[in-house]
Amino acid sequence: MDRTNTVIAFVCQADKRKKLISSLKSKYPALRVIPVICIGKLNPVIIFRLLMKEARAVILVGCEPSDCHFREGVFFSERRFFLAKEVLKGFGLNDRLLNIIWSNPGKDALVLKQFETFMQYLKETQIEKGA
Amino acid sequence: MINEIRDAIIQYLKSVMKENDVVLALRSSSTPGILTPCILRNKADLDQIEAGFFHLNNLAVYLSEFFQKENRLSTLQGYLYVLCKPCDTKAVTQMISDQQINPNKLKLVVYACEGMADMKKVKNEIGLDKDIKAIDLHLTELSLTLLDGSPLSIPVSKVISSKCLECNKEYHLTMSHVFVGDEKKWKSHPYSIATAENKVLLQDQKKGKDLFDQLKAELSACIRCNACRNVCHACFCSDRCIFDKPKMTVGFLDKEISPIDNILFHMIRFYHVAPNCTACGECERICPQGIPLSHLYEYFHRLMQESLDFSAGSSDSMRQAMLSYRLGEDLV
Repeated sequence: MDRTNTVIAFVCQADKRKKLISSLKSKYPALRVIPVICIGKLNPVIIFRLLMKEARAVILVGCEPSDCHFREGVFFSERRFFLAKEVLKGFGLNDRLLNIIWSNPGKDALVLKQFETFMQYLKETQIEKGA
Repeated sequence: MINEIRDAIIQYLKSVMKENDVVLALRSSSTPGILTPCILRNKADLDQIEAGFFHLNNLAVYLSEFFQKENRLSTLQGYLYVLCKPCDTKAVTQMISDQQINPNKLKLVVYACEGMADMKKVKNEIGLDKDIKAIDLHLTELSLTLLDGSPLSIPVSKVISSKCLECNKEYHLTMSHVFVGDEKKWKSHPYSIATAENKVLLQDQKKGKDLFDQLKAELSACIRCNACRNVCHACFCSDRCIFDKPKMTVGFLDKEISPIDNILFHMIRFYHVAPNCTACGECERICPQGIPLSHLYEYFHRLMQESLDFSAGSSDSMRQAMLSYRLGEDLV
């Protein structure tokens, strides 16, 4: 398997997201969906390693900041992923390959739509290792 | 001029130092032009102290070690005096705000710094195949004696560190400190050829693949000796560092040294360090491979100032940028 073509999605596992995860798995067989407890607890160091070595792109799905189940989690993660994106930019990498989707649980249609546009973007752009 | 400052520092320390006090300073080493950090406990040893043009080290790095190893500090009865250039005080302030050190037992001795040497520039001036036997500063001339005995003199403006050329001669300290030298006179002569604010960085000139290729070429020289990590005052995880446990949960870095792994190493390091970085330039100075790390740390230092309005080392009571948030920030 060509590792540079894999796309990995970290999805916040809030109550109403089980449907979304199963529909994502059935719609995109190549996509690897990894449920996480809260997107605010995800260490961007993992994302760097995935983007440099194992995956083409990383998608994060988290609750909107004001609706986080853990109250503060996503407030911190907003800054953290901002810095992660800037690190990618500062090293000359395409920061769009780290796609962050904020959406509340229950709004699955919106998330699926954003997934579709992002997958389309990945198809259009050339596969260049590291850029 | 430099010797005057050195004498003033020694005179001041001799007047205040008591029996149980400890001084963290620099003394001359066997290598000409390079000073070694040292811990002095007796008044008689104070004459060894060297300062001035060859004071390159940021001594703030040693403070976290001093405070983390409990036995060292708990046995300290008196005060710890630390010799600092005004630019090093930023690092101390940032470490206090990160709660790495406790300012109660700490006293800073700040002196009127007239710029410091860049030993890499000196090496380029004399040629890489030659070595220095003796080095001395005479006003605006650096007089050298090479190993074969031939004398050489280089104007100071050629070998002064590029960081000092951008120095705006500002420092901010709330903790107890002493300024040795004439502060007004020192502030009235800024070098300021180019200020750091309107500097054009590599990331402004190049973007995307060009930038990545250049950084990849530069960082491929990295041998991952971890010197930049060890010398950094913002890298205070000591024995809990992510690079020391390659088999933690995910193997973050492979053991082989490849350009991709080197980039990943510096990505992770700058992601961790960016909120605390005061752009002191120690990582670039210490790098044995001469990698221009200023391309990276200057970018992240400016980024934190411009987009998060957070300047590391400006206040000792500020919450670190990654540990705080503002409501309604629409960053990503």
